[in-house]
Amino acid sequence: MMSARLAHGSASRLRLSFAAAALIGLVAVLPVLAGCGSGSAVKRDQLIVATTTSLQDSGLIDDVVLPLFAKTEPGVTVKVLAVGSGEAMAMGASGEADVLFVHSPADEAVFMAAGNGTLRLPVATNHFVIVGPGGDPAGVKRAASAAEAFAAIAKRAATFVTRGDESGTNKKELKIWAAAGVQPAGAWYLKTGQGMGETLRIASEKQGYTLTDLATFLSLKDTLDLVPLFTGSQDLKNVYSVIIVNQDKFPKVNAAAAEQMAQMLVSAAGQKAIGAYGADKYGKQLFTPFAGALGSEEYATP
Amino acid sequence: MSASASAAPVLVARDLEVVRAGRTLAHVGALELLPGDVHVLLGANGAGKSMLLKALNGLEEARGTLEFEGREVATAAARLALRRRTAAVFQRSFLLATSVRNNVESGLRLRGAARAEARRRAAAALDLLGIAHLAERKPDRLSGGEAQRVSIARALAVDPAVLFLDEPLAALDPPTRRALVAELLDIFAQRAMAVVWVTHDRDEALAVGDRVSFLEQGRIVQTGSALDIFAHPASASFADFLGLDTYLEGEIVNAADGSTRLRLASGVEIACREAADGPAVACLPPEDVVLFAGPPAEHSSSLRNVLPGMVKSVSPSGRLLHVVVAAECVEVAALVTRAASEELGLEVGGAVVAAFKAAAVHPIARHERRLS
Amino acid sequence: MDLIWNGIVEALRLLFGGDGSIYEIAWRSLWISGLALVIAVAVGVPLGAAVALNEFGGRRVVVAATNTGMAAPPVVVGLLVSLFLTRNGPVGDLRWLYTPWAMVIAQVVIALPIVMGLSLAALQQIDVGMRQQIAALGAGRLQGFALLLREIKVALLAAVMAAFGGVISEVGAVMMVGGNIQGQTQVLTTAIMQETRSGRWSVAIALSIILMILAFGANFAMTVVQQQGRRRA
Repeated sequence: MMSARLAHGSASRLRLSFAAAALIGLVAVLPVLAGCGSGSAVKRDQLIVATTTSLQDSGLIDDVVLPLFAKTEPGVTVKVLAVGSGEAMAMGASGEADVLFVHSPADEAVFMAAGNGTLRLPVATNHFVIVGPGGDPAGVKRAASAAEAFAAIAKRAATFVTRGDESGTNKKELKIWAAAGVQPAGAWYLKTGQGMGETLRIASEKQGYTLTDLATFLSLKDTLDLVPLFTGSQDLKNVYSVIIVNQDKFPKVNAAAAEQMAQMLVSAAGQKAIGAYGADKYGKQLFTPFAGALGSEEYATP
Repeated sequence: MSASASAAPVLVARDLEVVRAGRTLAHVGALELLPGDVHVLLGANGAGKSMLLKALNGLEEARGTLEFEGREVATAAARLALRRRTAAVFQRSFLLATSVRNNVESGLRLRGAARAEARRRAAAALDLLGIAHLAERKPDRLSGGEAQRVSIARALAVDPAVLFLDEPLAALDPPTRRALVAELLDIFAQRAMAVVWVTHDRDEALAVGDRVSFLEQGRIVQTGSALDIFAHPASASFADFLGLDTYLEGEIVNAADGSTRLRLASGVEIACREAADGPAVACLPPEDVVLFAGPPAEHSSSLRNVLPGMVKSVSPSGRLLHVVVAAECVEVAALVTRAASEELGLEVGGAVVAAFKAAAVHPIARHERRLS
Repeated sequence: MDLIWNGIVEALRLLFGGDGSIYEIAWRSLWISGLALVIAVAVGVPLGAAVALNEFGGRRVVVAATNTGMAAPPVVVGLLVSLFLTRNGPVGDLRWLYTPWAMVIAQVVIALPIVMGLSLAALQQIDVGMRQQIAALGAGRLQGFALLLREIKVALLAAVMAAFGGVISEVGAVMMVGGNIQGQTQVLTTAIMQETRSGRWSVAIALSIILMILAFGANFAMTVVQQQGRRRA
């Protein structure tokens, strides 16, 4: 009898503790729920830039873009999110970023067509580079185009390391494989799902080939056992654009600051700074400024 | 009763010393343990008795000589071999986190006994200690007394050449203690087991010990039969420890009228507290003894024992006087104030009457040990 | 909120649609962490016991180092293991960097201090009297060790669960030493990171659900064993 009463007592005490814990949990979650979906005013002093890891790794953002922007708009704090091209576009498509700085023309066209951006301006170009082991077992150096180089690599089943993360670099690489008529798969084709730096490190460790942007490669050259083997062809050309996210569609977007950033990038001063980048650090120009007026045929070519 | 002297000692220690960080924690000059002997190590807390027991059991490394069954124990391997032929029970039961049965089997299994044999011997030990009904219980469901019985069963199951007991009953209540003492003494007698028993309880030492060694600060200061050394403590601190009681040895007789008496060897009967028939030693605290200058008054009193005698000695004990009275073939000690002594005119050689109640006499059962 | 809900729905579709690649990733997570755990226990428990039950010079330093190791940041472990295994490093000839073996090694380094430190603590708590009783029962070194392990079963399993949780959910070290190479060194945690970065929420959520099921399942099983024979109050 006594034990039954005691058992009941401890059971109800247990129920009480569960209730208390649930209540605390609920209270903790409420602010999160409240935050979802409520519209708040545009934060005028913050600018969220979504860009790619390769652009970030190249140093262009930190060494050129941010200092220049700080001079023109000192009151605005810039938050740079360097992610895969895919994720950057997704962030723009959900209104989580104010301005995009990407290099994936096909996706950019889709993005604009969906009405997610109000303005798209090409800012600079450069060429990708195929790097690989010094011995160059697949004879990439002798190729006439990137597609031919890739075909040679596939034929020899030489190790090729890809980012496989739907970034701009990755999409370019897949287009080249398509042009070469090869569906890359097998133990020789390694997908890392990561950024350029990490992919280069893995390529170096495995002594394999990879497609990279010059800036990232040069910044890591001393730690890598890889050499540049092929570049300059048309199918390796890369176009960097700035996109202002549509404030009408996504009210929280700081369109004003985004416009300032875009203007700065295509201004004479901005273009000059972009073109000069890399000269003193690596002795090479990393980005060719677009310096073209609006309406150039480059726009039409994805 | 101890074993015949012709049996070889199972354990011999000579100048055995436990030294740690330069300090001697325990030391024994000479100790011999014969099969069937119960040797008690008696002392206050911290006297070093446990350390000495562990040295004898090979649990603690010690300098000097230790011989077990005639062979010297000097290496770690030899100490392990010694432990595998002996068993120990401590104040805490230290049962393993498994059933009582598995606990009692554990000693045997560790020593390489086959499963079936271990099971059989463990079952026998459980029966011996009357706890067969607890075989499947887990330790956390046992009372203190039950747990200690398991520990003892576990020790007995391995049929040890020497059983080491370190204050085995100190954590138990008096009734449990009394019951276990009786059972254990029976078991010891049946198996002619050599036993080393550590205790701080004077009465326990009296009840179980064939030989008693008193320890102080790690050293054995006196060894002998319990009655001998209790009656003649060699040091003041030992006397202090013992508490100055008078010890009377005899046979308990329960009379038809319901009274209990201790019949001394001389035939004198002392009325005492109730006890079972049989040999016993009774303690009489000196503060319970009343001295009269002459025969006590005519009114009847509750003083059942009245012994006329003569003052044998008077010595100071704190601010009181310790008076030993030699009565008819028995000596009784009393504690009186100086004022009382003067009033009574006590002096060595003078006549005096010692009287005390039956309730002041506490018998401690002594079991006869029958040996083959 | 929409995003999350859609993700969950898509995740369930992927999970039960029998997408082989998801299960391949899950299996790799399981065997790498499982192997690392087995090695960590096989080495860590005896080591912990050796330190707990013996006196020796510098013991306190060893214990402090072990306890510090429990808090070692996995990324630091990843860095150290990378430096060791890289082609130009001390054991570069093994070519183990960016292979599952490097990941096992990194996870052993993470799990070992946890197992060792917690079993050390559990053994130290055992009354010295209990150890003496076990010795008095006639146990040799190894026998005594086995008995003590059974006495600390609850704490030991807690250590194993803590270590398992630490390695199955770890992403920094395995990313660094494994490289997240699809089909070779990709595990649940690195895959979740990759899919999130690519904006593929539904796949990321599906992988997260599997990871949680694995982690919970393993710990539930170990908890059942741990709580066996517990007295019901």
